[in-house]
Amino acid sequence: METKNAFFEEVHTLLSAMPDLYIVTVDLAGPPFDKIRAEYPKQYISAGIAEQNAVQIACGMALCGKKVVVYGVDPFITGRAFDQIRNCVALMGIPIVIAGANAGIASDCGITHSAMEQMSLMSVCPGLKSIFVSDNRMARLAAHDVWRMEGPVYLRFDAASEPELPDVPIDWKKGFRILREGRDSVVVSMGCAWRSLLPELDAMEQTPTLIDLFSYPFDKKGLLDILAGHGAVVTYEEHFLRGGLGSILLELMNESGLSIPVKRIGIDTSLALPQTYADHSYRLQEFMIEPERVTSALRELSR
Amino acid sequence: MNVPDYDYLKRKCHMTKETSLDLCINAGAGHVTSALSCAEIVTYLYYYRMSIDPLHPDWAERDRFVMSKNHGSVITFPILCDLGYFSEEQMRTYLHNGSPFGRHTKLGVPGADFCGGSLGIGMGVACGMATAAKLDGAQWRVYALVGDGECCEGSVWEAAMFAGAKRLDNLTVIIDRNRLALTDFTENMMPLESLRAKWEAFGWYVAEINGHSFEEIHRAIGGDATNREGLPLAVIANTIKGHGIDFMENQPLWHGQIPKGEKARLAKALLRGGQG
Repeated sequence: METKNAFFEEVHTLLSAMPDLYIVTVDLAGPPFDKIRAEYPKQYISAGIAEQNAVQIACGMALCGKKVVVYGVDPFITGRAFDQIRNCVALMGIPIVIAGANAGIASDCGITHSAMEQMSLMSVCPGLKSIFVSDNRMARLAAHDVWRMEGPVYLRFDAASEPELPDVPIDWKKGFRILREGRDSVVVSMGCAWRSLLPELDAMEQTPTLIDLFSYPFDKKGLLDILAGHGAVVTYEEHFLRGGLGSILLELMNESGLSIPVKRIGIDTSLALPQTYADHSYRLQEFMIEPERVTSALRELSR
Repeated sequence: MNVPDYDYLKRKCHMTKETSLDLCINAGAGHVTSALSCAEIVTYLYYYRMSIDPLHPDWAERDRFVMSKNHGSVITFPILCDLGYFSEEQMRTYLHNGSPFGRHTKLGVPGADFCGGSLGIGMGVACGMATAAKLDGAQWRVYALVGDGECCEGSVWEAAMFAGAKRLDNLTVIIDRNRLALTDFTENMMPLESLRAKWEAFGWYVAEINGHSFEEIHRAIGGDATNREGLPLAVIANTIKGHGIDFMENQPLWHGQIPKGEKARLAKALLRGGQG
């Protein structure tokens, strides 16, 4: 099941007990949405294909006490409606939930549908908590918990199904979790990037420590303490390097004076973006972010 | 339809125009001309039309006002002050560092329902508020004031399409049709006409009025929705940017400018003389 569907399947189960919970969408279908539309038509509002207005509507409703999740496809819901997210959601602190499907470069619709900048965009919106959903267990838990979080929340969902990651408890405030204790090096990744990365790391003889950084903001000190116990860091993301996970970690490490080698693997904004069709694995090669680069980097850093 | 006390509204309008100008002249900044074009509309809404309770600004059943053309919001400060949302002393901190009273209304202003500044957003938020009221079967209403230059923003029309489709007859949008944006007249820069036909095509009941006439504002906004068959109401209020200060009226590039020195004295005299 796709992560967004896991989230909205769970939302579907909440609608009866939460009559003040509404879903505002931009003409998108899928099994949970079809059910919600049929069974809870009053709690399902279509804004048409209009991301800006969908966010505006959600904000207006939330200002009047409604709980609202506005759902769209990335990069459009965060990109087209960025001004609304900045001015209403963040600056007014309107506690809506923004759900964006299509994280990373898995979409087969080409670079227009590759969502490569959400961490950059959302992390500069004050008071907005971003969650880069890593698996369906996290998606289901988020469906219950986002309503208890302070302020607005952005959820970034993969374009495809994701594997279940190790069943490690999720602490939303902490914002990261150790998926596996390893040796020497640490690999930090998030959300949809785990799908291709995890099988590659599983094949290694000596696996590094794996950290799922699933939220921004996160417990900086807690993460730094873990990084400090290792000799090298490799970050991996289906996201532009600028303003992404690796970039944020470098800032953090530099500010704290933690000096260990870091290798970032992500999409370089200076690359000419391909105007051609490609499936996910081909696209990973084009963007030079195949997961093998993580294992190569780990070997190189351990020398 | 009840009849307002027009003399009372005119006195209140006079007060807010003079005080707004005074605030701007003292601070040396502000959008005076944008404020003066909508003074009667805002006065009518706050002193007659809207159901609000200054002692309980968050009263859930209050009518909502979204000042989407938020650069004109200095016109609301004397009104909110007069109604008791805050003191004259507080208001006089306009454009002081740390004051909630800035060139645009932020949520720090008691009584404000909306934090404005980015044009094109307010109408959609107003649609969301009106949707919430409909879902609850509530009787409170939503009013939004949109600039005509602001109607170049695509998000205004996304919201217009939504309100028409969802038949939000509890929503009234007033378009401050002063025909001026910043650098030029709208019809030179990006023609909006036929504005009436545009709103009607989006599923709105449209009234076109003189936005400086309380009688006409009342005829357009004062009634209920029974004659509109479920349609949201768009009021195209023909106004004059800088209304009441003849040398600023209809002058491009006075947008966001403040009269200084002798011109400031003259501007005050013109408004005090009641020519506004």
